[in-house]
Amino acid sequence: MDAETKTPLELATITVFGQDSSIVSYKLSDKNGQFTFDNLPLKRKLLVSVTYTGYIGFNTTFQQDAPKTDTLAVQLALSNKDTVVVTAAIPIKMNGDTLEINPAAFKMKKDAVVEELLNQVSGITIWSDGTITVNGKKVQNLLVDGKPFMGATDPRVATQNLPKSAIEKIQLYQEFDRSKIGQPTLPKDSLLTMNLKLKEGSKKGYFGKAGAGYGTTDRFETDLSLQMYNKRSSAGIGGGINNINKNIGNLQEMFQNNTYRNYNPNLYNVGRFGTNGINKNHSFGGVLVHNFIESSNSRQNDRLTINYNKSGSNAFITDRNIQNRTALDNPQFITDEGVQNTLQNKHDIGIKYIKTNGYNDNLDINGTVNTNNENGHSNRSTEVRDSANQLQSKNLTTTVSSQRSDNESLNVIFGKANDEYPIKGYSVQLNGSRSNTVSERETVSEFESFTDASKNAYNNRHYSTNNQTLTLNGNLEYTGLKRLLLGRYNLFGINLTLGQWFNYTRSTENTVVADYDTVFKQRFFNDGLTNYNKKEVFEYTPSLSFTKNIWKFGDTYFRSLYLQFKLLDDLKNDRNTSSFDKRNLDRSFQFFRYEGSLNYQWAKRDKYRYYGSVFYSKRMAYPSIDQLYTFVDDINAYEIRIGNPNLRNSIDHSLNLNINYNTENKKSLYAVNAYVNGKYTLTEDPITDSIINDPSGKRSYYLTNADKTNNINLNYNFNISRKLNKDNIQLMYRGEFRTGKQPNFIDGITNISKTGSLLNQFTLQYSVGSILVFTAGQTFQLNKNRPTAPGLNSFQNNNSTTKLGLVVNYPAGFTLSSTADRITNSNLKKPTVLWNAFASYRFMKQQGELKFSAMDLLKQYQNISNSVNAYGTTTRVTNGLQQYFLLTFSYYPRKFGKTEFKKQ
Amino acid sequence: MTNDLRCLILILYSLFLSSVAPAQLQKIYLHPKAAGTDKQSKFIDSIRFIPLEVQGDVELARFSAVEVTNNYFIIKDWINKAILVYAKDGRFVKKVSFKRIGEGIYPAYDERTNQIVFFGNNKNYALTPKDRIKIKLDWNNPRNRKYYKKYIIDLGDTSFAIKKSIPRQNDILHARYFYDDLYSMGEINTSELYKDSLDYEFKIYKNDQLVKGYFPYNRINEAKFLYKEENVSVVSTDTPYIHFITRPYCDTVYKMVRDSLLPGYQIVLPLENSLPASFFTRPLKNKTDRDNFDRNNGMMLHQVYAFYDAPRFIYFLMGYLNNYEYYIYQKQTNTTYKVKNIKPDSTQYNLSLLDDYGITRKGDRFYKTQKVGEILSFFEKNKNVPVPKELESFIKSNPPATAPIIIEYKLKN
Repeated sequence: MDAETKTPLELATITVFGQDSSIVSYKLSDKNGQFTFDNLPLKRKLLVSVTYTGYIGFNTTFQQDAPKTDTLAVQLALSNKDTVVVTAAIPIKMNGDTLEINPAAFKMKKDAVVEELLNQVSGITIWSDGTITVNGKKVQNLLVDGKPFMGATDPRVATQNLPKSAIEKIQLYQEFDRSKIGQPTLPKDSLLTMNLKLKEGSKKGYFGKAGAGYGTTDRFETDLSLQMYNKRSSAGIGGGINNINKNIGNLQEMFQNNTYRNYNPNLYNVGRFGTNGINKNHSFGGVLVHNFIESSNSRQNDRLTINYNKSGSNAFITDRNIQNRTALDNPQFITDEGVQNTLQNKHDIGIKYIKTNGYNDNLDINGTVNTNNENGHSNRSTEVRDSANQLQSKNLTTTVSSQRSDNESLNVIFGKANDEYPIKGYSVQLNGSRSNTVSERETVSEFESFTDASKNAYNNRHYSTNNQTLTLNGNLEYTGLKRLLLGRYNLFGINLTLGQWFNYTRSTENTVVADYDTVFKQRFFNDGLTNYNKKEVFEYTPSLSFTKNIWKFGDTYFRSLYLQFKLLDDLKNDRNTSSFDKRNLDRSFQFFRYEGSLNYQWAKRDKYRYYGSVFYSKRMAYPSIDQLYTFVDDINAYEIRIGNPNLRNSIDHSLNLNINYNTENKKSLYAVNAYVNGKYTLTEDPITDSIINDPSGKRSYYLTNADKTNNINLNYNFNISRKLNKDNIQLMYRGEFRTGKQPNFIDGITNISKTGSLLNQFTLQYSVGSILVFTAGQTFQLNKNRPTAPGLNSFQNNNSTTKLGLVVNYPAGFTLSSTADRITNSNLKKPTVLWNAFASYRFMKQQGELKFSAMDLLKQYQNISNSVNAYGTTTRVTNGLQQYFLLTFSYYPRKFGKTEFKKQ
Repeated sequence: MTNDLRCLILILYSLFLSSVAPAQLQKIYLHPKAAGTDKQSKFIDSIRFIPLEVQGDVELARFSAVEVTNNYFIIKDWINKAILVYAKDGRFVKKVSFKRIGEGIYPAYDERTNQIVFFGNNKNYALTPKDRIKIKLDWNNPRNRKYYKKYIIDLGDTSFAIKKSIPRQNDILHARYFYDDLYSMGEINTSELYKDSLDYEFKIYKNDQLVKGYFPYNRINEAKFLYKEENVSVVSTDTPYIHFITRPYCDTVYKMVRDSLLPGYQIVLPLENSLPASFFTRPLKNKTDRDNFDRNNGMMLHQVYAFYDAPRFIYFLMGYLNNYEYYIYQKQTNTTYKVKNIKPDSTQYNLSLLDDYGITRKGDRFYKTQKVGEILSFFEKNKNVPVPKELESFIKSNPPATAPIIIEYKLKN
């Protein structure tokens, strides 16, 4: 209040400091000069500072020992001085369209990373899945000095590694979405971007992690991640080897999983008990990013990224599948067991170059080369029983396989828009890829029927396949068509785009199959399966697109409607050359089709935003040569596939629905976002199976056309968070609903298999500052299958998982955490519990970490999963990790600028 | 060569070509990063409230501004596409909707004809900058008139009907009345479409005849004007025949007495805010490079606008390459204050009167529209503060919070 006139002062800054000068909370007074602080810490001496430009500041200290409401009346007198001395940094301010956060205004521990700082800023929510929202809007781009950090797409590599002390300011603004070049843009199309501006002295540095651990039952893990950067370049290496199913398949994942943050460690980046089998994974790679220009904004890019990664795994999986399968008058109960050993080695090289001069052009070149070697050995045994539990048949299979492949691809995107010369607007996308696969497979199968011994079969078959594929395709979109045809005429604001899409695919396959004759004790070529096949497909689709954008601004709202209608003409030529005469086909097709979309947006300023879209498309497909004239291979007696030369073309109609909602209320303590995504597909004349369950137990699949199929997929979520001073509570819900009607023929009976699945997942997270993070979650899943034909049986299964997680960061340097998952399954007699516990201690000036992991303390975990398809339900149980204890030491080398952060 | 030196050469050149009188240049030192802060009552006084007659369907939109004509206050509501006409005593006269005119055409007041003029593109056509130049060069071709639309409201006609009018050359040239029978034009652009390279940044016309040109430039390839349209800014003063003229990329504010030009003030900026010499000599390659240069040097000098010279203060808008900022310069202390940093205080009812947006100046008076609710709320909470006489009966009438009111004020003398 003004001391002289006794009138309230609006927008006075009231800041509550702790004794260490750290900001406990801050507020601006309202129009009535009033302000309220909730949940201030008890039994702690606090300083209240009230400042207002032109007035003498007011400071006082106080301490509350018990929860109560207190009132502070402050009268400020005008300052007679000509100058005002600003003594405290402003935490947040708007600079034009940019929200700027000043890290210096937040006093935190010396090793705090950017994410911990963001957690303290009102309006910013770090969701438990890593998503960052600002006033309800999701941050879609994270840049460091205007550039992607380490070439990473995941913001956490920057926010969980860079120390707060290295950041000059954090900027939040809307960035143009470059993929929309030449197209009318809507506010929805702009990307909320967070830019971390480094201090001048911190524009070069390095950070990383090197860790190794060893435990009981010979479990071990090693992790390496080292990243360095300067003004123009950044480089990183990463690697690891483990036998605890920890996924380290690519470099970005390793960078993400080895960040410095520890106040809320990723409790699921440990040995993965849910993974099938025991996997020994290894990976090593590096990435180099160089910017040829020094630009601190993202309009201009001239950047080369090179990465290399060598990875591999040695997997040992034993599994047992229990399947309820519908068959006429006699459902089948199938038990399928296997032991599988797979050895995989991969090399991946990627080169990416991006150059942009502004928001009107874009050149993006992406090249990849990879090689993959895979060797496998498996033994499977299958038993099929009837409803009276009588054994109908069984099959034993042994397979030894090896495969070597190499793939190369090049993708070029170039787009240009020109406001001055709209006739020159276009975008081009060119893709080329080549692959070569050589594989050898030897399968020995022994089928035994208990109902018809004459159908017993023994096969020892060797397959040698060489496949080469070349694909070239391109898409040209010409946005200057309206100007070219109509000159200056605006055509009621409708934009025209001419599209030219082409694709050429050549696939050559040489397959040699030989059977071992037990009588002659030698192999003979199998003339029915040995073949040469060359398939060439040329596709060309011209298209014409009409778009119109209508929008309206109001005092407090914005709404827009974007309509698109597209006409397409698919011209296709499919020429197949084969060593089998009947497969020598030269077919041509022309499909005229159309698609359309409608996007609607409604935003209430500083309140909320809705976004909805509907997209309809129609596509035609013709049957492939392998569906018309299939090579009938009876090596798997339970899946003998037979083609049909009379198959008809099918038509797909799909309707996609997308609805988004998020709050954008800066003053609200709550942040809410939700979405619903849905897809309805109707297929006319779909290709489906006619299954004959032979009395002997063999199963044949004949391809045929049905009348129609339809499927509905819905997935939806709802997230809400609330700030409680420095604490945060979040509730996240995710659901999935799928239902489908798949017509088929089972044992000559016309049937429609109705399948359905439902998933509900809830996660609740409560964080008490940086001290404690508590997580609770519940997942329910239900699968069911119901055939409509009389005499066929319905099946269903379900499972649920309850998850609890706790992280305690106390005392300083110590982190204790634990997770417990209780799993129930309709095919398990009693629930199992997976209980893991961890203790870690950071020392060596916060750069060394010793961590003890105790996994599956109750020693009762089982890997079990459920699924459903048109023919029944399946429950799968595999081997996996069992109880182990692991001690890991990690060192975090870190230096930002000339001096290490710890000395700052 | 520094920017200052370049300007000086151009000034001398203009002196040679035109009748520019020598004068003492007054310097205004402005450090954008260190502009001062203070309370509003230090700069403003003579606050007068002009209550407006309450009409049921009239609310003050977020983006609106007041225009002061001889007989009326005209509130332009861009969001709802309407103009609200009030008599000078606050009596409501009429609400005129201009929704039917279509998108992108907005009202402007022409003091000379006492008309509200709506001039803009015909939405049936999409024009590029090159198209506009072609049309300008071939304006005598009647087919070119279809690209623009013009409507007027004659404020002398109490029906306030929107009437269709024929776009004239002065409209597309953005020529404006200067004094007596003279018009001025300050549009600057470059193009290879021009056959003759000589043009002037600022020109005075009588009918269709060029009377005098100031600041010649090459309109085909002048480096500083490539790929961007610019304008000389002309600001009327309280004294007839005296105008302030400001030019793009020049820190000098010129005073024009009739057609005689003399440098009046120089805005002196730190080196980091000054344009490099190469900007004036080395042409940028294309529009993208131009945009990037502006963006990467967002706080370098572009142009001074809205220059108002009051007895104690100077109020002006600084255009930087990618930013705008209003300032008040205090002559006595040679101090420049950033308007954003000037905070309203209780002696002025906590009303923010120096916003960036929606303020109109007529002579020495500033006018701003305000929602009534904020004023009502202030007096509700501060019953000890006397209500100004002109507001007493208005407040007692219990007006709706969203109704508009006009506030008139002056910079302190």
